[in-house]
This record gives sequence, structure tokens and C-alpha cells, in this order.
Amino acid sequence: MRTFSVPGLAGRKAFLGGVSVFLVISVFGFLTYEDIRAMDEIEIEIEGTRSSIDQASAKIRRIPDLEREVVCLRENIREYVKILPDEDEVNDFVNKINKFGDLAKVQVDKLDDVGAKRRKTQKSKDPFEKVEYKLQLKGETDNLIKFINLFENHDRFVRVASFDFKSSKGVTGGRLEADLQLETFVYNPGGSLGPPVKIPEYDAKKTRFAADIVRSRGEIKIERYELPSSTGRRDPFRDPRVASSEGGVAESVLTPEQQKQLLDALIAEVSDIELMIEAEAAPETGDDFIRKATLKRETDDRILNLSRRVTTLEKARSIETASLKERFRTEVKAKVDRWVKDRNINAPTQTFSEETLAEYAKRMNGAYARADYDGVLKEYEVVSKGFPRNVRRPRSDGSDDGPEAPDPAAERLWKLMTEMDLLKERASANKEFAERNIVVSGVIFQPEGSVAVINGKVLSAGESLDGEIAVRAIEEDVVEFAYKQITIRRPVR
Amino acid sequence: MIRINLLPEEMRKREKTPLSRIVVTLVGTLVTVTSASVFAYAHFGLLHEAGSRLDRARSELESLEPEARYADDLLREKKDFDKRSEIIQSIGNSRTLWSRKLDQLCDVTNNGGDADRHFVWFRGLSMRPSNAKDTTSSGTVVMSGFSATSKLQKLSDFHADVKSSAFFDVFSEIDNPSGKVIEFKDNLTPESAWDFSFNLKLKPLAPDKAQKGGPAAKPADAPASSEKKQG
Repeated sequence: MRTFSVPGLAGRKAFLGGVSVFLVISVFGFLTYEDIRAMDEIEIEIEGTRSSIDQASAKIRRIPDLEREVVCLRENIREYVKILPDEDEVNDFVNKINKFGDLAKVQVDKLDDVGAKRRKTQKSKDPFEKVEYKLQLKGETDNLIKFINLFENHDRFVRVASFDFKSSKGVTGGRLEADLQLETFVYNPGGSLGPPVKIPEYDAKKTRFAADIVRSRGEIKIERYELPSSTGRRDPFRDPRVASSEGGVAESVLTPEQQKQLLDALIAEVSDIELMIEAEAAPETGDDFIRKATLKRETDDRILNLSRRVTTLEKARSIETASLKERFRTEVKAKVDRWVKDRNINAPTQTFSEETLAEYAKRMNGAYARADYDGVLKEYEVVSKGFPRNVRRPRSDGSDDGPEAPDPAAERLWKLMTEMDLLKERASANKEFAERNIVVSGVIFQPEGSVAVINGKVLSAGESLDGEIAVRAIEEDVVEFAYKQITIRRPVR
Repeated sequence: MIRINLLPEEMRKREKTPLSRIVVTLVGTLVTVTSASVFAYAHFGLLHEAGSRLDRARSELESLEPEARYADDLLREKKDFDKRSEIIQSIGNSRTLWSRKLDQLCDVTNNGGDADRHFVWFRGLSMRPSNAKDTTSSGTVVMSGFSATSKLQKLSDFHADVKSSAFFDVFSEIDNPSGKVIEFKDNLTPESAWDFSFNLKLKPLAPDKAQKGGPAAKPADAPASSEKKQG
């Protein structure tokens, strides 16, 4: 039989003591365990925070580079979007259509601004919002092409999205009816991005990054096309067939062969004049103003003579063979008429005397000295209409086409006219330069090579701003430009 | 049995706590104190110190956050502006000058005034952009007109001249010559001509960067740099 003895008081105390100790240890153990777990969690959190700090630090280290890139992009995009019209120009588009219609001799019958309502009611979030115009036009083929060309050569980007030309008289041809859709884009600087990030000391940074801005600027080349001034082609929408009864020859006293020879001679004369006009626009060097003025006067004289001849031939109905007549009309008469109109060449209603010319030259010199360039041009416009025609270039110019015997009076007239031509060219060049808004915003003057910030570009002496304007010299507070053979000085702003 | 100690109290044997109990008590106390100390060290030392480190890290992160946000904003603007820059450059650098194309077509048609090889005049000419999903072409040009005379060779020569001209640079295909002879009966000569209509398929465009948020490419976007002016 097993017996149990009741533990004594001491035993019970020992038992209770042991239990108490165990409980205390357990409580502390548990609490310590919880603390360790908490510490682990804190360590993980610290690790995460550290990683975030590292990432933030890495981002912050990039700030100078990012600022530079954003400044460059902002400034360059500001330049790029100059090819696009702004809101005001889009609103003015109708005027532009009217103006180009008049210039190209095209009749605008209908105009539809496709997205006008949408643009008015809701602001687009796209940075580039398309603007479309649908037009209905009437005109000759060449005129319609010129109308399109005027838009394609416009300062602001416009493109033809679609077109539909129809001969308005069906089979027989004539004026065209055209549907034309033009597109452009308006730049919305905000777009989906919202307001731009505020970069502290933006202007100072812009100046500091000027060289980077220029270096990172991609070239946006808006291709343009110069239509040939006069094509001399038949209109491909005009029915070119001739009446059977005409038999090709009408009332001309000349045989078809003679008519052809006459036409060939006229076309050769037109080609010569075209070469002279091309020479007028040749790259300018040295005393080109004088050469140009001389050439212009000689060209005008030849055009005037040819114009008189063409009028006489027309009156005499010298060229009547159908195919030759069309060529005469397009390859000779159209060109001559246009030259006479564009160059404002007409036989002078009055020819000024040498004294009058000298008086005008004096007034033009005075106006030029006062920098009154408009005054110079106004005087020239009046006096040039009274320039004596067929005053030949004197031999002293080095040419060999002057008169055999020297003519002092003609020589004096020639000099006066050349002087006024020169003043007019210089005044035009000065005026054009002033209109270009050239701003010299800074100069770094240093003996080993100074540079200047001109219209946001960093240039040194000898470099060109835009192909036409070259930096000639950089002084401490002045930059000297060469533009069309004249030197113009601009102070640092 | 009851045992009674009859000795006077001062002579009685003094009772002592047993050594084992003392040892056990001491060990218990030591263990208790030690565990309390470990807890105190963990709680008030290590945990507090970790908490402090966490606070320091958090406040450091907080102090960096405005600049980091600024960097994020700059990066976002940079990406957006990069895209805009690409779009505007793609707009600016890609455009078919239709005035040039039409001028070239007039040159081909006129053929330098030589009506012997071909003698064509149009009654219609249109250009339509293709559906945006069409990747094979960016649009179609349709030219319809008449080719005098009833000789098919002249129409064929015109077709060949169009195909070999600078005008055709932006196209990938043209219909083969076809049509029908018509008699005009209007007392003009030549009295008959081929009535024709050609479809010309514009070349497809490269993927347009401007599709989203920018200008959609139209047939006008085909490059035209290789064009040469026809004489």
C-alpha cells in the first residue's frame, strides 16, 4: 500500500517559492521576448527607412543635373514651338486664309473650323491640340498650288491633310473647284502636366546653362518649297485640244517655222533675263551693292524692252499657231508681265534731270545720317521712278559694254543713281536688322577669345547667328555684327 | 509521540535555516533578479535605443522628403518634356510639301511641252489619308483624266513617266494603265482620248510618336528629303 505524506510547512513554502520564481522568470522572459521581437521589427523599419533615405539622397544628388536638363528642355521647347501658331494666331487664321487667297488669286467659297466648338467648350489636356480647317476653293491650278505653297511656306507649321481638285467644267476644263483640309497644332504649355515645377533662381540658372541649352537644341527643320516663279507649262486641268477648224494656224503673216524661230528668240531673251535676275540674288561679296544696283538697272531695261516687244507682237498677232501661242503666253508673256509688276518697272512718266537727282541724293544722305531709314526708302521710291532709262555703265567700272567715247554726263548720272541705290540697300539692311530683334544679353570678355550670348546663343567672333548675321567682333560692352555688307554695333543689354 | 523540550529557552539548541533552503532561495532570487535585469536591459536599453535610431532615421527621411519630391517633380517634367520635344521634332521634320508634289506632277504632265510622248489633262485629283489602323499605306491619291489620243501607248508612257518621276517618291504603288477610249464629238482635235483613273498608294509612315497627346500622323508625314526637282 502506497502512503502519501503531507509535506511540511517548509516544503510547501519551498514549493510556493519555486512556483513564484518560475512565474516571475516566465513573465520577464515573455516581456524580454516581446521586446526582442519589437526590436527586430524596428530594425527592419530602420532598414527600410535607411533605404528610403539612400533613395532620396540619390534623387537629391541628381537635382543639379535634372535642373539643368529641365531648364534646357523648357527653353528649347519654347524655341521649338515657335513653329506652331499660338491661340491668337489660330484665331487670326481666317485672315491669313483671306490674305493668301488674295495673293494666290483663289476664291474661298466656304470655310469650316472643324473643332472650333470643342476648343471653346473644353480645354484640351493634350500639349499639342490639332486645329483643322476645311476649305472650298475655286481657282486656276497654278493659283491653287500657290495657295497651298503659301501655307506650307508660312512661318507657322501648317500641313495639307487632304485635298480634292475637280475640273469645274467637266471635260472641257477651266477653273478648278477644290476641297482642301489644312491642319496645324496649338501648343498648350500646361497640358496634362499642370503648372511647371518652380525652379529656384531660374533666370540665373538659364544664363548659367546657356551653352548647354544651345548644345542640346535639336534642329527642327521646317522644309519649305519655293515654287518656280513662272513655269511656262500648260495647265494640266485645262483641256488643251484646239478647234478643228483652226487648223493650227490663224491670222499670222508668219509661217509656222518663222513663228517658231521668233518664239525661240523670245524664250532665249527670257532665259537671259532669268540669269540676270539670278545674278542679282547671288551671294554678296565686296562691292556687291554697286554690282547689284547696276545689274538691276540693266535687267529692268531689258525687261522693259522685251515687254514693249511682246505687246507689239501680240497686237500684230505674230504668233498664232495653237501650240506656239500657248508657249508664247506661258513662257514669255506671263513671265514678262509678272516681272514688270513685281519689279514695278514702267517707262518713267517723267525723267529727272541731273540736278533733281543730285537733290534727292543729298536728301537721302541726310536721312541716312539721321538713321531715318524709312525716309531714305521713301525718297528712293519716288526718285527711282524718274531714273533715266538706258544710261549705260561707264567704262571706268571695268566693264567693256560702255559707249565707245566717254560721256561725262552719263557718267555723272550713273554715279548719282548708283549712290542712291547703295543708300537704299544700306537703309533696307539696317531696317531689316532692327526688325530681327537681336539682343546681346551678355559678354564674356577674355583675351584668348571672347564670347557673347546673342538671342540665347553663345557665339564668338566669326560665328554666324542664323547664316545671315555674323558676329564680327566682341568688345567689352559692344558686339559688332556684319549683315548684308554693313557693320552694325549693338550694346550689351 | 510528542516530544517536549524542557530545557530553558536560552539553553535550547538554536534553529537554523537549512543550507539547502538558503542556496535554493539565493538561486531563485538570483534567477529572478537576472531575468528582471535582462528584461530591463532589453526594454530600457536596446529597445529604447532602437526606437531612438528609428526616430532619427525617420526625421532624417522627413528632412530629405521635400527635396526628393522636388527631384521627382523635375524628373516627371523632364520625361514629359522629352516626349513633347520628340513630338514637336517629329511634327517639324516630317511633312510632305504637297505644293512641291503638285508642281512635280504638273511638270510630268507638261513633259517640257512635248505632246508627242503623252498628252494628258486631268478632270480630278484627290488625296485622302488612310484609316489610322492601316499600316500598309498612309493614304491614297486618285488622279483621273484623259490621255489623247486613242493610242494606248501614250497613256502607258504617261504612266511610266509618273512612276519614274520625283513626284512618285512618296508613293509605293500605282495602278496599271487602264481605261476606255471615248469620242468627244465636240469639234475639237484630237477627237478621241483614253479616259483613265489611277490610284496611287502613299508609302506607310514610321510609328508616329505624336499619336498620343499629339498630332496624328497623316500621309503628309512621309519623308520628302530625297526628292529632286524635275526640270
